[in-house]
Amino acid sequence: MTFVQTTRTWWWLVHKDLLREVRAPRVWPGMLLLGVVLALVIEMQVDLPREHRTSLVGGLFWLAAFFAGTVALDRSFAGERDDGCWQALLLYPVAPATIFLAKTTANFLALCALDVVLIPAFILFSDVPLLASPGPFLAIVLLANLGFSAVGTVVSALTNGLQHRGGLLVLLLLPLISPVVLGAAQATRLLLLGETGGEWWRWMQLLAGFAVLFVAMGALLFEFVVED
Amino acid sequence: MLTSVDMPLEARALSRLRNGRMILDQVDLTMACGQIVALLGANGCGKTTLLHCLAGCLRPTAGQVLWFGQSPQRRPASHRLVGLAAHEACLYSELSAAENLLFAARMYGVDEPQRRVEQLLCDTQLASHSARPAGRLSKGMRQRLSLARALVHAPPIVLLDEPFTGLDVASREWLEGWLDQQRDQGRAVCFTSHDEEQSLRFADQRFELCDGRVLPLPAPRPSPSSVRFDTAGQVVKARSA
Amino acid sequence: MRYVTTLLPASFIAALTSVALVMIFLWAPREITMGDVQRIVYLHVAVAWCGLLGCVAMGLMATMYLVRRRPGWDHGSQAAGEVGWLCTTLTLVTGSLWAHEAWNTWWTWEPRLTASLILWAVYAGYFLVRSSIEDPQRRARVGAVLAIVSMADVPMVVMATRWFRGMHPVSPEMDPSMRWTLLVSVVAFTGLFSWLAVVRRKQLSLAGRVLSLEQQSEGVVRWEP
Repeated sequence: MTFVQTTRTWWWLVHKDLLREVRAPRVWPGMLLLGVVLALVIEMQVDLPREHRTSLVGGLFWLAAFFAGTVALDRSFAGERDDGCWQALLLYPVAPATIFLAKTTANFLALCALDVVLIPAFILFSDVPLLASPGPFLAIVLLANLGFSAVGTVVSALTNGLQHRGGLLVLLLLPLISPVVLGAAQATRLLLLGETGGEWWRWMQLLAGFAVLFVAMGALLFEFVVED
Repeated sequence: MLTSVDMPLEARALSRLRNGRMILDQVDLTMACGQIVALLGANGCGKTTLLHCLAGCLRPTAGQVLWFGQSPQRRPASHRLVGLAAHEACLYSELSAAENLLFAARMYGVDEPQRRVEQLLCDTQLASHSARPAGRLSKGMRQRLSLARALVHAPPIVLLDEPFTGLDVASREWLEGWLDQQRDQGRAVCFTSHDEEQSLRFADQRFELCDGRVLPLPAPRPSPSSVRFDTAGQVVKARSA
Repeated sequence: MRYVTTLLPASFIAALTSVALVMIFLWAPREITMGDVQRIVYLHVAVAWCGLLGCVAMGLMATMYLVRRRPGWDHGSQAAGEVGWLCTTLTLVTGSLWAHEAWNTWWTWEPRLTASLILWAVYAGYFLVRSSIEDPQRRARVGAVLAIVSMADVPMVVMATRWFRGMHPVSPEMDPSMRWTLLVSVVAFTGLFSWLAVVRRKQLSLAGRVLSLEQQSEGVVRWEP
């Protein structure tokens, strides 16, 4: 398959997932609602002066984002299996890596949609200007979502079809994405404190490094994940 | 004499182990072009497992599956040679009949996918339901749509898992006519069933799966004329029996 | 033959470990600020190194399983993971004992400790998933993929003290006799835990064969490529 054909196939796979979600929303409403509820519950418990909250909000935001994001990851492959379409998907003359990249893209878009709702929610509830430096914050968001969606897609595919799938997914996912969570939380904290010097760049490098590593690992390993 | 390259589908000493149990045990099977093969057996004997191994969905524990002499393992491109209509319809409920076929056509890289979809919808008498979501189609319509999806890329090998289950009389008659049509077009068709009478009506070869082994049953009719396909699934020569 | 393949290596490792213990508790000098508590470091560094090595070995053998599909590689991967998890647990325990004396706290969220705890949780997740799959081939394949992904955590543990500011000591100044004790301890415990992993791998292979024989006697055939 040429690069153009692969790109087209990737696009049709992503298009199919987005179309299904638009026609019969199964994932996004639950994920968005959970995100807002988490933001509310977390902010209710944090009763600190504003200057102390600033150093905490970054970590709390990413905690809420990742927990709510697991809803999207959990349904990522369950939706295919529910309709009996998972096998059909594997029968197409499409490389497993392409399927992985398409699923990762769909999950990435879901996480971005979650952030679009979560960011205003946290700004409203915590009174901390998360978007004071929009460019660097956007970079953190995109890299964190990329790393999370890549490793989450692999883990979701692995645990799909297992007993206690939902519980296993979270148990497996959180330690594995901890470099991404750490990187995103620390980079956000430093950004909110206005410290975008050497340490901030180191956290960004960690975040970017793991995001790229997880995407590469997922693409290479996915054929073994989907094998039966 | 037909060699492996001439045989569209061949299973050699195919074994599949699951949870310590040998579901398939040294199965040998060959199919020629323009032939309908019926695979019979009781519920739970492993027919679906065998079909999925032949389709390349399941990796055999031992042995090989060959499509025109080549193994499909780790070669996604070769999946163009096979169309599978599984027991589940494998259709996205939210997408319409036409959208399901269009998606499959795009995945298989079919030229002019829109035209191909329209043709298939006519062939399967679903043209008037093309805009209806697949989740709202009747069982018979979903079955026909699933068959259309299996054929969207015109594969030389077609595998059907219990295609007659749950169909009314009219749908069954339509399906039998459709199977005859696939045979006449030179395809190698294999379907599973637990209804022996049905297989006697139009199968060219019959096998029974029992205790993981495939046993040939008496052929109900002589071998038909066949066409030959090359490894890309294109017709190269027709010859009569 | 058994003497050469089993008793001789075991004896050598036992002797080396004994030498290491003697050096740790009797030969190495007493540290000025922490006194005898500092001797935990010789064990702590050794088991920490083995914990990381276990994760890498688990991942490498998992890769070999995916390539070759022989159960022996899966057994080796599982054995390395079990020993690695044990070592990581010991790392956290010995580290806490040392931290209580050095930092007056059992735990602190500094980079290397946090990364080590994450490694421990990664191991835990790996075994949790393996235990939830009945089919041996599927268990081996899923475990292999997880083991390879888990290796991504190892650089984070190793580089945590270099990338980020933290309290965990990084290559502190040491008396030459202390360095020798540390070196011998690391070599001895690496040998000990490697031997444990080899024994465990044999155990797993035998368990597989026993299961196969049991299933054969019940009329179920088990495949052993």
